[in-house]
Amino acid sequence: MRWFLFTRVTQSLIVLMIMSFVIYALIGLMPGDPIDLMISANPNMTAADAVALRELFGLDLPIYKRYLNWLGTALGGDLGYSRLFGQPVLDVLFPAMKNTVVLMGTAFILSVCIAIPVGTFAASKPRSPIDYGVNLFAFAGISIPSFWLALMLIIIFSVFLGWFPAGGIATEGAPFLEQIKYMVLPVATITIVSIGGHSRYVRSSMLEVLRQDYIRTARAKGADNNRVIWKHALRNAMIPVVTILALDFGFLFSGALITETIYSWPGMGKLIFDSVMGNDFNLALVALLFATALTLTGNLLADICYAWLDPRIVIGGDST
Amino acid sequence: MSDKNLPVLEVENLSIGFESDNQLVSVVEDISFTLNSGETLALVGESGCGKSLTALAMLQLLPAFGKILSGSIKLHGKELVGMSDRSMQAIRGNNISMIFQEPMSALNPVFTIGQQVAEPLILHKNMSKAAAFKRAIEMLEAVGIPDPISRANNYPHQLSGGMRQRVMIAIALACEPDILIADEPTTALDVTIQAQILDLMHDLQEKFGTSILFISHDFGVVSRMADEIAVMYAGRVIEEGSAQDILVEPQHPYTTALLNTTPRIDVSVDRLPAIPGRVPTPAERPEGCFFAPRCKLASSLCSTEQPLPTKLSRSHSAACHEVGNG
Repeated sequence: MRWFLFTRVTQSLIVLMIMSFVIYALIGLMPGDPIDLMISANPNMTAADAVALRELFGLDLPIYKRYLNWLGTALGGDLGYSRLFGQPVLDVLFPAMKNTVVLMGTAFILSVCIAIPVGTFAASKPRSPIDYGVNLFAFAGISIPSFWLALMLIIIFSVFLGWFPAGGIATEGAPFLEQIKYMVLPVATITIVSIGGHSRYVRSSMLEVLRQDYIRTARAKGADNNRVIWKHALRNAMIPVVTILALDFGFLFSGALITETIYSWPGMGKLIFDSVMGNDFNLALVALLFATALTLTGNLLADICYAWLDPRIVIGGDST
Repeated sequence: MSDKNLPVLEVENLSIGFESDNQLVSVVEDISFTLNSGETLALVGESGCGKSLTALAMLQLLPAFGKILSGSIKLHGKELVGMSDRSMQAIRGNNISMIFQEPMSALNPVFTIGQQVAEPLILHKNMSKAAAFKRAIEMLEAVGIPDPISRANNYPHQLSGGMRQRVMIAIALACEPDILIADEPTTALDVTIQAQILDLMHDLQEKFGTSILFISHDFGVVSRMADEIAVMYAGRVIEEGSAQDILVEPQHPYTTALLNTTPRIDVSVDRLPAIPGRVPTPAERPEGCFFAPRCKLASSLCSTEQPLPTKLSRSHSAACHEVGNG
């Protein structure tokens, strides 16, 4: 187990290193740089000033040299300064990340907690009205674009009914109930959109498992239908579902850009969008790297989950 | 056992059908047999003749589209056809158990051997988890699994095919059922392991007094196990009798042909005979005798009229127009 964690963490670090260069290069390829923004903000700047500034900030160097410079300081613990927000990058990043984790985490847990029983129930009664109902709902959830759903929810629940705020986030230290109020609509949007896919995966995986010989063995032992499904089948059915959930885990931290933007939720999605649009290289780079790191962490968690669900998978065994 | 030769399981005029495209196709037609206490009855026939379906019907575990159309299955005189699912659950694994052809896939990969053997005890005997697990270890020992205490904590993938079939037998016999249904239990195993498993079933049958309904296509295996044999063809029992009757004096041309396809150690042949053609699917079944198209002795009568079982002796009967005529 320890060896497994060690190798996986090492692999992840290498991937992260490569990704940091890829992201750095991609940002470098974007049209415009911070100096262009300075020029447009300050009419008194001359072309000579711009050249001098580029030299001063090292922006005239080739991209690999700039990358190595950045890497050196980053590894030294200095991730830089966000020009857009006028604060150190991490001071901007952490509150946004917290907001996104609260929003996406709640939606993710809700979606999984609803999708597993719903998908299982649909699979246990295939072609029943319940199954058709679940399918209909799932396909609706998959097909509805999140921006449309978000707008509909705002029109119904904040404009007409006035139950929830149309956007924003509660101020720091507001009462718990107040904070929840701001969360309801964005959480509902993301949950409804992701439940469909999740429940379909659970259902098809469950149907596959219910066809297996060992399910017949369980019935031949005299186990009733509930026991067969919830004890014998569910754990087997969850193994492939974990893969899908792990992939979704990455989205958790990069945030749902559209949903966060519509609800003005100050999370990672919105932050990455703003930093890219504002040519805020440092912030965009670090934010994207964090999203990458957390996706890698999600995959690692999924691997640990596999071993926990399926005894045939032994972590840290003598295989590679 | 004192009640030896008393009927435990009586099947009368059982028909099983499949529903496809709103059409009911009958697959098993009008079969009857009796399993006596402590004895082994073998159902023999080629693939697709309805043996496994018959076996599953005993437990009312037919696939979703399968259905018992008519007939009766009586356990100690109690009718099982039409019984509620809840009552059947109390019988499955408790009074009637079953083992299957594929030991590799018949065990749940995510639970330990011990947990799986203990389950029927928890379900039927009201045992605590700990007591059931302890009993499970005893059962593993009884089916000849070495080092049962540590094996109980193993998962199925850590065991060989033969060991897994032993585990299946331990699960099936945990509640000491009256009847064990064995559906081709050795077909997926190596020949040497086959013999071990058959011996084990034999020993356990004597120890627990279990009656066995043994399903096989292999006369070699059947001759080791069976007291009584019923030969099935295309969903019907075409010949029935004691093992002696069937193996030594087979009367139905199909039984004879099937026996001829079994290699014998005392007869040397260059080429094993095969029965030409194949078992007709339920939709293709001809009028008259189902075997007529493949039968060497078939006359015009055979293709028009279905033969009825003819008694040949107290124990022996066969359904063939040629039997008794010559």
